[in-house]
Amino acid sequence: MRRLTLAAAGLNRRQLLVGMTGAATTLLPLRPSYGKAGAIERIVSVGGAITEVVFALGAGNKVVAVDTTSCYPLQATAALPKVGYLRTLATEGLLSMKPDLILLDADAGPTDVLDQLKRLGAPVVHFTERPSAQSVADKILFVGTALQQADKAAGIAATFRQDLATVAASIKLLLQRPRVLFLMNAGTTGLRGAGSGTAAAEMITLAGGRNAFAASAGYKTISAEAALIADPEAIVMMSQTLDELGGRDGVAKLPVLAKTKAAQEGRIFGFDGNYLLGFGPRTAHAIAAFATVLHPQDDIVAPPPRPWTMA
Amino acid sequence: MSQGTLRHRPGVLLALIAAGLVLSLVLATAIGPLMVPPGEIGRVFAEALGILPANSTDVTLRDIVLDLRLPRALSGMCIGALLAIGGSVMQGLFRNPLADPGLIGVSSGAALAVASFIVFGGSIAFLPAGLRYYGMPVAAFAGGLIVVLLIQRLAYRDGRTDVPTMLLAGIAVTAVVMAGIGLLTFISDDTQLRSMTFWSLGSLGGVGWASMVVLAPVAAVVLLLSLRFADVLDALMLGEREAYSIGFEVERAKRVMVLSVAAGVGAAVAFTGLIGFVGIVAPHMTRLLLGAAHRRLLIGSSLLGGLLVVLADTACRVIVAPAELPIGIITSLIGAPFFLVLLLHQQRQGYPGS
Repeated sequence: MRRLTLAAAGLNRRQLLVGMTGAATTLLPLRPSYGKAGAIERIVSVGGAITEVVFALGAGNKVVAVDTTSCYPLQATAALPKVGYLRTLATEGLLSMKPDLILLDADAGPTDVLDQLKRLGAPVVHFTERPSAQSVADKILFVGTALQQADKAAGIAATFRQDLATVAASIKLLLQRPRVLFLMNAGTTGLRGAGSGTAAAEMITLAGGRNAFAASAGYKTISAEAALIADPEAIVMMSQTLDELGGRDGVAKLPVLAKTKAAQEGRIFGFDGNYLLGFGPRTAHAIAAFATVLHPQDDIVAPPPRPWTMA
Repeated sequence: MSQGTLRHRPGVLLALIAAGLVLSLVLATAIGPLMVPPGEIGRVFAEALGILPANSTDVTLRDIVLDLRLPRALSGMCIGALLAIGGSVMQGLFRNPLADPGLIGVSSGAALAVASFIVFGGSIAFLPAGLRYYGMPVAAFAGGLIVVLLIQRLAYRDGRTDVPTMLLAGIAVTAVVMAGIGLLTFISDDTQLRSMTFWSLGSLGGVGWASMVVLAPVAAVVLLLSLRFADVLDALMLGEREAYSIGFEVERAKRVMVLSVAAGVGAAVAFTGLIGFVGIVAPHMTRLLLGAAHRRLLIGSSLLGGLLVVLADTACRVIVAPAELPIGIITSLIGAPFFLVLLLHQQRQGYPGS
């Protein structure tokens, strides 16, 4: 709230950024060549969810480059130059886009590069809250403040919170909590199950399921025996992985999974990775879509489509 | 001029390699994701040297050239030199053209230490924030050195370091160390795992003047130290016993050389992660160009190693701009085929080292 008051007080951007240090931010001093007082015209947006927020705020036309995790809205982000993967950014690459604002999501790095940007006084704002459904509203407010669109952001954040509450209320009423296994394809080392503490685990819980692989922490390679012990009633993976493994039938026939209930009943589902695990403004809708798949017999109340979910 | 005549004039060739190195440094500071006319770069340097008045160039460009490109290029030169010297010395010591510092455990030891630091470093609460920048390099350096010392100790018996035993001990210890890395990989979370992967691919993205302060003196000391042992390395080509009977203190030389290689390569790896192939390609190319005498080889390969790393890093920065490629990909992708061509071409004329 403190941030919003500052914006409302009509302070300039530099003071605004100073004010934001109280929140989950890293403040970096601005130099005249970067932070020309006034409107922000050239944004580098790093992190899929951050980019979604920028577009939701209607500032997509000011984005000059994104990272490789920014894939939504699809057409707009595909056409933009890529500054690399968010954890392997390059200092000169970022600066060469002549940004007047570099928005970084929590996972941005490496630390050396962040330190260099800091030392050079680049106009960086870093959202450091760990990705989760709870942090999305904060993220929207944070980006809104950085873009001098705090009021608009407050509206979107409120709508998001409302949508999240709508879905949560609907899921709370469900009687069944099916065991769900989320699988990541790790190439030659086999399939990795999402254990506790992962984004997938959080989404499973939010969608009214139980993580069948909760006994492990992080993403761990899963054996046939472990899969059988977990005995998932539904298996979920990224659509891309599902296609690579030969679709629903292909996955059901994998020796590792063949004996599980999910494989035998053909309850194997693919989701877009960014949509399901990105924790951006579309997350409430993603939870509803996920829950609908996990609870085919129940009616899940999905929030109405929003402008930022229809791009 | 044919290659044959040039090879009889090593001085000229050495000067050419040195000129190439200087050219690569100029290139590395002149180009990057932010493309500007060369004149502008010249103006930045003119301003830095006080020829032009202060603030007469764009501040962003000045930062990029003087604070990113220049220290990165110079660090790249030191790192390439250290890797190449490491390779030359190891090949001489083991009398095996395929030897590299990895054989005595420098890289695997450093990798284990870095993986430990990534996985457990977060829980080291007493580490002051100011030291964080040096935390990982120090861990890498120490890890490399500890493993080398262990291998050397294992190969030490009856008052001498047995080189074949050292080779075998190196393989065995490296296997254990790799298992440790595997275990850390297993218990690491997603973020830590990614950090480890990127480290193993190598990147000069994080180097700056702070790393240059460490690398430049280390490179100078390691080069001078290795040159002191150039005669011993030459004598070792005849065999260890022979070198001893000529009158060299072979044992002491072996110990000092192994340690200085461990320290040098450890320092390079500490700041950049693993950069493959330079330690093999640079000495070989130098041997093909200048012959196998070690004084020439050490000087030539350190220049050539620097040249290769600076060029490879420049390519990494530019090819996929504004993103960056890991340097290990480029050094192997360009270095290996080039090396093969040289090798096959030269084999028909007789390999100078044999």
